[in-house]
Amino acid sequence: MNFEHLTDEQFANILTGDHTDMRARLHVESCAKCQRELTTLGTAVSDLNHASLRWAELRASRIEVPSRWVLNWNSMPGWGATLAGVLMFGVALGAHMQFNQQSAVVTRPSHTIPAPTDDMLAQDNNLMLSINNELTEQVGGQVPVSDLNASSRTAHRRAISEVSN
Amino acid sequence: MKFGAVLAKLPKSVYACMQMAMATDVLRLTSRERALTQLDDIEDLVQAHRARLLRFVTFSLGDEDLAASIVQDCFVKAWSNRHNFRGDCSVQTWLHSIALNLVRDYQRTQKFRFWKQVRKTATDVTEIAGMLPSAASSPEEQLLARERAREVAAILQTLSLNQRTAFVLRFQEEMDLGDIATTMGMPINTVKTHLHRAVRTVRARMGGRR
Repeated sequence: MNFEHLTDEQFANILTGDHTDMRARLHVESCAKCQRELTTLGTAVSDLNHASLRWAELRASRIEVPSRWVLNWNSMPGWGATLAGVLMFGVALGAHMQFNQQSAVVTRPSHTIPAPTDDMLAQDNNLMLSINNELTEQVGGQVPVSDLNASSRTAHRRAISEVSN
Repeated sequence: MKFGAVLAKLPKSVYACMQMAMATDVLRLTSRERALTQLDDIEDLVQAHRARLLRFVTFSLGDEDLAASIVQDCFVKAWSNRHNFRGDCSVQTWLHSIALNLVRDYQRTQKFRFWKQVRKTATDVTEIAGMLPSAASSPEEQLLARERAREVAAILQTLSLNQRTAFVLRFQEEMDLGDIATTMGMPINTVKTHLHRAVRTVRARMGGRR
């Protein structure tokens, strides 16, 4: 009977199913301590094996079959994926630019003032002329401005400005 | 001279060797074709391997959500590269090697280091051990068995990735050393070293001799 207990290497070999070491085998057959140790660890490992497989089978349902799109995308060669990426980027950029142009066309009228028409200008001119005439009648009587001398013209302008203020 | 006549002139032992080599090639081709058929059907592939892969990656990373995501990536990668499968190993071994490469890639990233500290979805080893079927005879024995399984699971989390991977592939996936070496991309002797160190740590922490 060999009373030197199993070394770590012998223990590992026997636990992993390697029984080629005859000396170690003979020792295990005769040593209750090593037998017990091997049985305890072997049972614990086996129990963990069963428990973990049961656990994994319950949890594995969350792993779904990958979709065809994902599979095809991943099986595409590198240059193909790059080309597809560039094309998608181009399409997205084009769509974005087109959208921006449309929104600019839509928003422009809200920020611009329409140009006055000829009728509107003529109407404004008539209004201004009538005002001017009325003021002239009130201040200067019937004397035309062109007939006044320098001092009279100054007085005439001052009177007009006072009235207009 | 015809090929048949050449063969007839060969010594019997050489002819037998040639026949054996051809038969091996045919067998390898057949197994590859069979595996390719299996790999083509993504639904069957996922159904057949997702639980074991999820367990393997969960033990490797200690994070259930992350593991689910990596297993999903693993199936996508396997399906996309199925034509590169040579048939030298089983589909299970091949899938595990892809999963392990993804785990290694992920562990190198900064993102993983950050999330490892947060560990919101860290796997609860007590929950796993609690799934033990109640085969033990008494409630005390059941409790003891669950406690031992929980202890082993907790010790595994303290091992290095290589030691843990070797241990899980040997004792949970029940792979032989050759398949483990293929999966880990290492020589068999290196695998043995990792496995021995893992067993030594588990043995020491479980109360055996150091």
